[in-house]
Amino acid sequence: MTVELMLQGTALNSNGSMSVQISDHTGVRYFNDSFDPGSIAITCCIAWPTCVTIELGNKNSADTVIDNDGRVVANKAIEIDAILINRFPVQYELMESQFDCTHQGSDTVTHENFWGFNGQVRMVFDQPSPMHYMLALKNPFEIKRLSWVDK
Amino acid sequence: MDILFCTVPGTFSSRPPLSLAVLKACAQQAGFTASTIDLNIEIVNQITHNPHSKELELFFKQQVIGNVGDAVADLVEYCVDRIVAANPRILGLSLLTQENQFFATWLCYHLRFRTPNIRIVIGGSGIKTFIAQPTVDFAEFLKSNCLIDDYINGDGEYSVVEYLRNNHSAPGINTSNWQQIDDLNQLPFPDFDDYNWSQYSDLGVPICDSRGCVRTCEFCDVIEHWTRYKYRSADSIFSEMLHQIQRHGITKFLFYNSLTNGNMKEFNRLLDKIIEYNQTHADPIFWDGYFIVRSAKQHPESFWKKISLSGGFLQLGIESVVEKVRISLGKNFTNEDIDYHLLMAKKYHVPLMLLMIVGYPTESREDFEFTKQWFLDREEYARVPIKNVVLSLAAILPNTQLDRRKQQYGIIQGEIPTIWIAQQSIGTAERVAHHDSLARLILAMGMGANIGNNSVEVARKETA
Repeated sequence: MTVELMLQGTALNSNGSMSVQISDHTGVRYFNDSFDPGSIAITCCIAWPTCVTIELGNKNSADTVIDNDGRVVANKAIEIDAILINRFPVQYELMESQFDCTHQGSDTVTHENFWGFNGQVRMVFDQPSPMHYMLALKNPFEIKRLSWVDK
Repeated sequence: MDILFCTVPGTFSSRPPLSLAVLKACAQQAGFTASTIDLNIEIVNQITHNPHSKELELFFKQQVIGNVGDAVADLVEYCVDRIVAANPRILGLSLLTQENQFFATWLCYHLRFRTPNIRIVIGGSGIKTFIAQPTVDFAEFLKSNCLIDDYINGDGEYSVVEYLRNNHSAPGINTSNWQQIDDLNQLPFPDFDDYNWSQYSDLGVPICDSRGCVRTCEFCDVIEHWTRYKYRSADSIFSEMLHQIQRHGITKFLFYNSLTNGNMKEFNRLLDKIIEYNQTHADPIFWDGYFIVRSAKQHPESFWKKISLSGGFLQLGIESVVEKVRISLGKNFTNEDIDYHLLMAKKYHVPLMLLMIVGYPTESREDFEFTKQWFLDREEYARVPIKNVVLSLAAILPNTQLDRRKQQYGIIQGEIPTIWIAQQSIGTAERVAHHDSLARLILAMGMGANIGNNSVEVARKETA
């Protein structure tokens, strides 16, 4: 079975954009190395259950520019602010924990949604279905109810 | 199979639904194959025996707490398995109220994963948050997220047939505009053949004799939805009763309507037919339904005798025992009329359920005390004929006359219908306290009190 995985966020470009390649256990599902700066939506079909691997590349040290006051004035990164599985979002507070990040040259696993590094992000979808995954996360589907909707 | 009609779990009722049987009959009459599953009762019965029953009930109120996830997943999976086993081309999900919406979302989410090719159409008053609101918000929410394909708003008997014929421009399909059915006599008799009657602890055959109401109570949203009162003839209703008795051997009928005695001529004729049946059959007919109070002249003693002989159980919409409050909200009968009904019901052994609104916007603290004293003064009617009392917190429902009169009453509205404050400055917390106090009194007097109303719990939580 397949599901639609969507990662929404923002692309920050400096000397071009980050490259993103998404694979599941069946093969490569998505690739892009020329994001336009600004809002992005990375959408692909993935097998389920699976372990998704997101390869991040194209980042060089010269892509991050810091001024004399220590402020970042230019950067290359992708910041993710939503995970949607079959169009339903994982609650924002739960999102970071779903990204197992490994920076190139390191074995340390971190949980980040700001991807300004070369390396790998893993997302483990080992539950039998997206419903089981959402319930295991205790992810609420927010439905407006008992409220004034037509005012 | 062309279409499978299912209820969506979330209605904690032990009575059979009517919608599935009506829609099945309409589809079949038009030449389509159809079947029904009351998933609601199957899940309600499973929850009752589940060790996580409390947490599961909270799940229906949108709380995923504790380790209830696996149990919820099992329930949803069970529903999907039942649907998949039936192998329908189209799935019609019936939502009775907004209480069904949370489970519907999870169910559709999982259905899309397990069986992406089944076309899903939803209907029923639960496809909106409130029945009288102009927009079909919940159904649009599901549709925009691709969790359903279509929805049918309003009366669905003819629209569902047009939907099966692929005519998606029929009234009510994917639109807030729908048409009330003019002649209820033309509808086929409901088909309950798929029902497993043993699942229902409050067993009876549902029957619809009318839609809409003859009164115009300002708090009521039903009259804003069905704007015209439409009734069936006594001949049509009684023929359906005989058909269902013959088919299922059940002689208790549950009228799903706003009132049984809206058209007194047809109602009297129906009572005569039932009485004639009861006098010649060993298993008599019983029925229950909503009933409006009128004057003694309109409901003479001979009428009460007929209700008794016909096996009637009446649900009286009293709303307030404070006469000025009740009459101003649209129930034009006196306290003398109520006492007359209590007297007649006792004399002729007609069981009653009283429906009360607690803390109406025009009620004062003195009225609260009057209400309690009113019950105390009528202790002789406790149990016989008053079996139970249903207490609901006053709610300002969207698009009702009461909603439109908010400024006139000086009502400041909160975020939900039961949260508001009026000129008397009696806040929600005080109304909840009055509700609880009245419930305790009623229970102490030996009457049943339906106090599990979700709106009370929501208001209690909001004001805690």
